[in-house]
Amino acid sequence: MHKKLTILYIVSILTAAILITGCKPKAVAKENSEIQLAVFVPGVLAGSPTYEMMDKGVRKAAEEKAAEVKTVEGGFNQAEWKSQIMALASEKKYDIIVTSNPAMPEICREVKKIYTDQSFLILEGSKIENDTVSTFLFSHLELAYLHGYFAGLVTRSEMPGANSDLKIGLIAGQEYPEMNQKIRPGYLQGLQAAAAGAEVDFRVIGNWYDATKASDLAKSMFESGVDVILTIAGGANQGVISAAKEAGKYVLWYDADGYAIEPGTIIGSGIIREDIAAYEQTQLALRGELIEGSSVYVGVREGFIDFLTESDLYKSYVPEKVRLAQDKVIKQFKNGQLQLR
Amino acid sequence: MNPSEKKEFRLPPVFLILLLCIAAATGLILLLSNDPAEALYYFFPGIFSNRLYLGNFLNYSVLLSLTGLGIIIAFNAGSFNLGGEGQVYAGAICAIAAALKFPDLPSGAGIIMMTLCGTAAGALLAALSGIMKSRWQVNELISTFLLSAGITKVIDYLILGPLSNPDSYLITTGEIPLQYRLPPIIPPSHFNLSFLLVFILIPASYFYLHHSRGGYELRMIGYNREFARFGGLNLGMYDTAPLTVSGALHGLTGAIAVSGTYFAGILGFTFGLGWNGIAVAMIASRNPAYLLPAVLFFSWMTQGARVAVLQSDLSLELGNIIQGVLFLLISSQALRGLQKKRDPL
Repeated sequence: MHKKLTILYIVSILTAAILITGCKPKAVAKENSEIQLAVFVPGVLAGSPTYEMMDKGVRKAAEEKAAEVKTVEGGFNQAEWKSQIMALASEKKYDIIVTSNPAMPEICREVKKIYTDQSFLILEGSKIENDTVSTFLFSHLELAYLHGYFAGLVTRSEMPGANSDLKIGLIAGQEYPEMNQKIRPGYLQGLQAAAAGAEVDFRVIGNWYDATKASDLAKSMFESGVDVILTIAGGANQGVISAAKEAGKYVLWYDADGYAIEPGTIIGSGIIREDIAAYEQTQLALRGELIEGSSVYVGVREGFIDFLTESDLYKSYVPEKVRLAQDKVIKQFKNGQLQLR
Repeated sequence: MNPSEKKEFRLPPVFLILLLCIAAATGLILLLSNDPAEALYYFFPGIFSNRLYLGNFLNYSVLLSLTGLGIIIAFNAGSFNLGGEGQVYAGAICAIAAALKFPDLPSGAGIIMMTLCGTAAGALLAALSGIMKSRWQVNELISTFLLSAGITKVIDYLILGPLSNPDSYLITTGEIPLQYRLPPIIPPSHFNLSFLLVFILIPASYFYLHHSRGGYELRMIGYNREFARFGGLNLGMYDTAPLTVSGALHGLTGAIAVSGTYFAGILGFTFGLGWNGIAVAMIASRNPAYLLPAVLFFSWMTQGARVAVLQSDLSLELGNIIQGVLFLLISSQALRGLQKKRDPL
């Protein structure tokens, strides 16, 4: 028995020694390479087009300058994000940490208090006074307006899924300031412009992944006379789609090209060009021209927000009359006649 | 039962498990990483390379020690507390609610209030299972788990609704007042004075379990219920009290997690402390004396995985897979060890 024990101890100590000494050089070597960027994804890349766009944009800019990019997925547990960002900053090797999510500025500002030399660029982030992190904000008011306007046209139309009730839906993963102050009001405003007197049925899931609950909510909304739902619920969007498909109703896809996901059910899709934003801002940062605490606020006119009307699926499922009316309002935003900030 | 004899027979299998864990993690990394040297570096020695990692590792160890101790105490009395997750979460949310309700107390009083509220919440939750067990023979394995699963939903609701912070983009409660926060010892990590609790509670539990009459009775019930009944022990008391203490320790963990680490209740923020507490209790073969090494090992593995995911090319899922494999190894092997140990008595 004793012999066995001794052997075990020796083996384990040897293993530990090999592990601890054996794998160090690589990490040291890494610090010598020039510019390093980190992309922090608050969630996962797969299945979230906006984060994929951000990653793509940063990588494109980095490639031009031969900078290295490290993409880190933070997962869905919001409680972990701060310690993950803190850990990235603690390595002190990233020239800038790029991330995207309205919740990230408050986290990055906290981390910045400790690692004061670390620069941050946050897409989808709002600025505060005397900000320490760079933010880049898209006008959700305008994007939501476009969706609301389109939904108004649809609910008034003769489309097979549209009923006589002037009622449209909005499903959100959670209530957050952007949702309450920008998206909901913008959506309602757009709707009123297209179909005066129509109403919005607003529901909240409570998380960003529960597709079953999303499906239940959507079903009950369809039963109460809603014919088109704008869904902003991350992974739970799938539940809304399946409910809509079953009921023969419609879904609007918020901020990335969604037509191909479920042709005929997703009849409208907006887009936020996070890739362009990430690309341009990263370029600035790589040239050393991104000013700490800077903030940018853009909309349709600057080309960062759009409603996608060129897709063949859009053209085949949406009647021409609706499309023409939608084109008109998009044009008004593009030439600056309409602007919501 | 001769203690020295016990030691000789018990340590090797545990050691084997730990070795297996390290081997499994190494194997998986070699298999799944494109740059295994870097991933291995961050997985194993990486956490000692940086104050933040080291502090987080120690801080997590403190929290894990307390939940692990809670599991061990219940284990020894023959009760399985599977409701750790809910008890920690409940402790945390009660501590937060108390802090937000009375934000103007002096620092010490506030921290004590939070700690007491958290501990009481965890204790209450587990006591329910204990009472049901002693009164109506409701299996505590099921009742603790179900109660925990239920209360988790209630707490989620509280964080989403009544306690939510409308100014934050996170799904979170408001932050506790500044003076209620335990100051860090190794900034910027959150490692704080609460580690002293570990050095009080673990030895205290060890002496209670192994060197007191009450502890002897408690363990006797754990080993052989019928024998203990025959010996005239008060089974009802030992069905309720150890579970309650177990819950109290979990609640305490939740309260400390709030006052020392998170300062606010983000949805699901204590997740993992309950289940991992069971894992470390298993590695420690339900003996408080082995708890600390077991906790340090497990915490090293989990924090190593986190750092490796952040700094090397291991993806989030791979990190989780590795942790899952470790958990599986630990639970399967340790359970077998427990089984063996129970038979001869």
